[in-house]
Amino acid sequence: MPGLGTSFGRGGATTFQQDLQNSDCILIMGSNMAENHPVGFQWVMEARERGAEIIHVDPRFTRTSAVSTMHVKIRPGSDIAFLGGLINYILENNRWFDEYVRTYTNAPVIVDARFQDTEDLDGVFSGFEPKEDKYDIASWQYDDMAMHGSAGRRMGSAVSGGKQDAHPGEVSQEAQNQLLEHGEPPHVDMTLQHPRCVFQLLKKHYARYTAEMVERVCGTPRAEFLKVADALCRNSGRERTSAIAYAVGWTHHTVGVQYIRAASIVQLLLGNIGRPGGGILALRGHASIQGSTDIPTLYELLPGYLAMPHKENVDLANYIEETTSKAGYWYHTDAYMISLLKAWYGEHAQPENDFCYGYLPRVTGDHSCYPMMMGMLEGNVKGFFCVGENPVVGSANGPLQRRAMANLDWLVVRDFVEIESAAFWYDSVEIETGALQTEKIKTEIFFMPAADHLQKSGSFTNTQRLLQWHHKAVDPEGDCRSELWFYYHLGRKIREKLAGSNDPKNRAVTELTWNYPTEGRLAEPDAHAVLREVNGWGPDGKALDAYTKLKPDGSTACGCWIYCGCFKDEQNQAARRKSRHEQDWVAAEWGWAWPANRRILYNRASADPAGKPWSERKKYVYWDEAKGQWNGPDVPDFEKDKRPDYVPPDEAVGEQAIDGKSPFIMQGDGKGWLFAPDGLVDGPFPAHYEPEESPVNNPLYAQQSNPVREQWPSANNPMHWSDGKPGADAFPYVGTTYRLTEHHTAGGMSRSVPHLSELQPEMFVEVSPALAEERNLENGGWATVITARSAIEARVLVTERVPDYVVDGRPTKVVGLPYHWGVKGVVRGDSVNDLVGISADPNVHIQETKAFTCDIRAGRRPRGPALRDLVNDYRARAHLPLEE
Amino acid sequence: MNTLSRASEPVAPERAVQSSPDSYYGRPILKPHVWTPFVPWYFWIGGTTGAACVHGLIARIRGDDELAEVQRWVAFGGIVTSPVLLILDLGVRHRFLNMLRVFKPTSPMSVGSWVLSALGAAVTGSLVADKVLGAPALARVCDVAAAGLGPVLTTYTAVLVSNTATPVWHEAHAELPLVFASSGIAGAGACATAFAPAAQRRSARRMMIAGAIAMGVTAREMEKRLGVLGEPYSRGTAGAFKRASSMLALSGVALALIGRSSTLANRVAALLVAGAGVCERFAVLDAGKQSAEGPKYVVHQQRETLQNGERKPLR
Amino acid sequence: MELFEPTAASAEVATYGERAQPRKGFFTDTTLCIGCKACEVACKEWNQLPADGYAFTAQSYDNTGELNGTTWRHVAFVEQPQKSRWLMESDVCKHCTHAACLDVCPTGALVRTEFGTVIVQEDVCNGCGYCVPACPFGVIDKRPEDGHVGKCTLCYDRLRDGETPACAKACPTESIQYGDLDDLRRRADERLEKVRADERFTDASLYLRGPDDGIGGAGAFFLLLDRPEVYGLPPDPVDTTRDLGKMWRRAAYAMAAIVGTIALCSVGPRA
Repeated sequence: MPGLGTSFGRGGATTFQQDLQNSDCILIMGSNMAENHPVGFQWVMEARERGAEIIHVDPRFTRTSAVSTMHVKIRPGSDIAFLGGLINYILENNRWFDEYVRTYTNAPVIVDARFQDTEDLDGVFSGFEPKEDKYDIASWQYDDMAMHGSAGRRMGSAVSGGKQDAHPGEVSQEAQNQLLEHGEPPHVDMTLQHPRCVFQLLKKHYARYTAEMVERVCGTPRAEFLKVADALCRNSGRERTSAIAYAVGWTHHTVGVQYIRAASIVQLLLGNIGRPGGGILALRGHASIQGSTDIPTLYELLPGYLAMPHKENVDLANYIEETTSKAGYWYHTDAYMISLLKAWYGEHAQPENDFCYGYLPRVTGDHSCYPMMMGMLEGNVKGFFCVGENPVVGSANGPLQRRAMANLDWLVVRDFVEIESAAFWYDSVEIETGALQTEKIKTEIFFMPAADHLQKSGSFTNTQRLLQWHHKAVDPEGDCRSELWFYYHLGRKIREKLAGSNDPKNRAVTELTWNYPTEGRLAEPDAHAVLREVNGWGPDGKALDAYTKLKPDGSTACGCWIYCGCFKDEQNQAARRKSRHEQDWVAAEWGWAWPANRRILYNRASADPAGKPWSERKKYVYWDEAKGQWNGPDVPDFEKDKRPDYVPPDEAVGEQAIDGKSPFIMQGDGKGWLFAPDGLVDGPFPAHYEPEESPVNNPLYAQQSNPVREQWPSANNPMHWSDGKPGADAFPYVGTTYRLTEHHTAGGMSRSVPHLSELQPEMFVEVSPALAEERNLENGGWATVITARSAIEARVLVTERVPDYVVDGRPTKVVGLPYHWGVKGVVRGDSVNDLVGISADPNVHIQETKAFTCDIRAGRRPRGPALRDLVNDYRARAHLPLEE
Repeated sequence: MNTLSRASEPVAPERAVQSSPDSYYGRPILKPHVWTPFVPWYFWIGGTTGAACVHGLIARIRGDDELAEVQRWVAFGGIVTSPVLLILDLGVRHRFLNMLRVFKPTSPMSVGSWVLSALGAAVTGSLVADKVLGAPALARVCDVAAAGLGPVLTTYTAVLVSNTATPVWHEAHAELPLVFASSGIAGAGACATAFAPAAQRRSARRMMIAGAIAMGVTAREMEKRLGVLGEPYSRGTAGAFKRASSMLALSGVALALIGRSSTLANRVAALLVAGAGVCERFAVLDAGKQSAEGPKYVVHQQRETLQNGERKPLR
Repeated sequence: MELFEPTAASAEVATYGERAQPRKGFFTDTTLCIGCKACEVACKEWNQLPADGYAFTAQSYDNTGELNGTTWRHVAFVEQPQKSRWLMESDVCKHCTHAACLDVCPTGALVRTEFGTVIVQEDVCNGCGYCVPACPFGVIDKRPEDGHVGKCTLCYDRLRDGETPACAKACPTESIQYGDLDDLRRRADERLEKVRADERFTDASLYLRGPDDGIGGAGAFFLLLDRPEVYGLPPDPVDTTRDLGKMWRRAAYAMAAIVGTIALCSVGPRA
């Protein structure tokens, strides 16, 4: 389970973009925020103008670097070494926020004596089972606490389905803390001296992440690293706060989740979570990627981060038992789940039939994005709805994606224009090389034109969990229809066909509440009605105003418990549009943020254990003794009247079991987790591992890459050997991919628009002058970039904005590749993802596109079968199987 | 135009993209003029027409009536052709009448449009008065008016181009009217030399020779004073026209001097001198283009002004 | 006749009488620009301008290259690795106090509006092209599609409805600020002081804040971190109409020379 969720309790950004203006220092890493979040970036600029230090740590000098106060270079794929260096710096120099760390984190907790660190086992943690490439996490537990449930199977280990923009950090915690009976864990050492306490383990784990090591691994000059470390520490504490912003530059790695975990540890040590100007901002790549995990398009989750039942969860009781935590708000899982079933099955959902729990599908294996494509390739997946994505451009290993889709019986593509995923059967590199032949592709493709956001009403849930409503401006043209229309009427037609069927298996469909009112010429379902169902209603049929009102007795219905309150007072709260100039800076009356319209999560931590603001300058939410409640400009992320000195009685459960000075109320122990005893499959502490394809051996451990990363080695997905193996030198450069302001993801929405296309008309590659010299590349000329997957051509931009590196004593050069182009649209070009192989993070199955190895040469790529010959030539030199 | 220039912009092979201290990737700071070849032709024809009107009146006063008739027809040809050339150059041709929508003293083109129109009326009026109405007095009044407006028509085009940001034009605003005046004199002289009877072509020959020489001298003077800014006159298309102009003028003058009594020699010389004038106008137009396209000319001249303290530096 | 009034813009605005508005303009603060080009796109969308072509220039991230008849906002990208800088600047028509384009326009198609801005009346312009070389900034240009010239109108139509110009509205970082010119100038002065306090930006300057320069100051002025020519801007732009009297004087000499020369050539007995 992902980085932010395991660390703090919820998988959403801990803060909101407007709050960045209060920061004294902002570390932007794994993100090119000015280019990809230009609107939110205004708050970074605001902070800079107020005197904040803006630090951009990035492999390239980008538009973000240009307006930051400091740019620090880092080799792609080495961020954990850098962040580990920060952790080490904080610990070695006594720069941590002592009172915060002792009280609000699990630093004092004693860990199981069986736990062994990477320091002890040279790169792996205890419990590693090499034969299965996975960990038994039993030894990672808190001392004296028996592991509950089965170690191997992970309840609801949230899966982002390989979406390009999904973040490992964004999925919330569910039911991870079932081991914690209540309140504080059993053994603590408040002096932080016990050799097995989390604090000492942390110290030991990061002891080798020195500034020298950072320079060796990351290629970051030591002095620059120290400047960053000092700036962060100087700007943290009672009087000052620092924020960290990241995006997919951190998540597209085989250790992506651990990148975010490392940042979480930094922020917990510095006391920056839950406070104004602090926090970790997970920047999303789409208008509603947050929304698409809240009400998920993921196979392993139900709305509100409820786990999708596994095949072992035979009945509701079993499901509830396995997913309920004794302490914290996950104690009420039954209320959330039963309310969801009531929203879906209405009167059919009754206690005697388990509220129709039996109708839900069960998880039987990994059905995330890449296994699904592998399934197509093997012929096991016959049909595919391709909606809101363009896999043949946007997913790793384009050639594999196209071959997989060419193996389908049927394919539905819904998009604004005929995107590459709808056209691959007649227009693609494989058709050009002869690897696929149009007449032999049996896939029947249905292209359904989609309505855009101006042609439909609905909500976006943005990067900061904020629901914002958009109203329809015009009816869609021609056959274009909204997603809501499509699924509503598809469901309606299926139900019509099944009407009268007595087959019990059809009841899952026939008993659904499917009664949304429609309006207008096109019979567009009323989006408000959907939002109201998402919000839920009580026994009186009135919209509920808070998830605390949900009941496990079937008297309430709620489509997504964390969204409960978004239709409070029968008003669409997401449609609120009160200008920020007419309210305080928190702007609580603009849109609606989950949960409960909170803008900064864990904001109890903005006050000290006694409930007083840490400082006047950083005052936010605090205990008002006179009123007997928590006050502040935001909705307190705490029970409003729970006193700071509240100590839970022994029998307490749920939120009652969390004491008055534990701000992380979704965690079973109420603490921020420096050490994650549960929830992650690849280690309780982040450790630096090299990317799957790396030019160097891991300077830190004998273990080269994440030992439990996901791999799909085959002739269709050959991965390069890393340093030291024969053939590794065929691909001497580090490739990295990124986006440009001017285009949107796989290009369907931007390469079809002339005004955007003219701004970045051609696929290009950014290289340093030294690399240009080495490979005879000319600025403005052409280059071909080659991997074992394919070769693409691009125009060359020779720029000193791409630095050269020395990694572990070896000169290392970087090839920078924007990802946006494909064969369709006003402007066309080769796709970067054709170069990238598939390997993935084991927690969230997100592919590694930010660091791989490649070669580059001057000139355009060969056409037709000659392209295959070129790639095969490289495969032969790289000791990899040849393409047929 | 812009689209084409952008699309066809050759990417200069260079090591790396990098700013330069005195330009933005060598891109033009100014826009070059967008006039078609109709315009330099008009410049020459208009210049010749203006001088022809003056010459015509003086000839008339002297009693060289045949010479005066020749210049009258030259001028008439000029004032008929000129608007056609100008209209052909317009981006929205059917709006040519908008040229007379306002009278704008700050716009030499507006002034020129009115002058051309008035001159057209005068030349045509003179013709009509003489040939149709049989009113010689009225015709003379028209001739005087034409002779008065003629020099304006000959020189306003120099003011027109000088009153632009194009460095090679604006910085030559002192000399350019003289260049155009000389060329106009030479043009009118050449026309009359070609068509006037031998007995009355002395003044025309003198004008042709003197004008051609003056054109060369004033143009050289102009280029010398322009210094670096005058560079375009020795480069590219402008340089070629410039060389052609000099050679044509020289050979024309030489031929006129050698074959002074031969009508054929005089006619050929007239053609050569006329060609020299046309080439000079083409050279001026193309030099303007180069000058605007080369950011160094703009920056050089403006930096110099700033350094010499001729203008207060920016805040 | 005085061809070059010292306060061209305000005098022209005054002719609107009661409809006259305080002079409006842009203050483009390049220190806040993140190079997102939202201004370029918003401008083209609002003003219904076509794309200009799809060519990769290899000139940093700038693929539109220049202002012209159909590109009215243009973001320049200046890579200065020696200084670890990447300067970005959103360029636009300057709406000069002394506007050369307006001065030389023979048809009256270019006019000063009640807001003190300069616009092309597209239904009047006949495409004579005179304003094109006249503009000291290379802003205005002939449009190949329809023959007349085009340039930024400061969104005249939006201004009349009390709206902010599209580019300023779209700018996420307030690099493009729109407002009353007097206010903007005050703000810019304060801003310059603050920026210069940073040792990296001691060279910062206000470009065209006026009125001491050759165009009498601009309606759209800039805070620059380097010399203007580095951004493709002229260091000392001039509305050459200022020198028009001098030019006509030289032309008058030449006219006299024409008459004199021809008269001299005509001296002598008739044959």
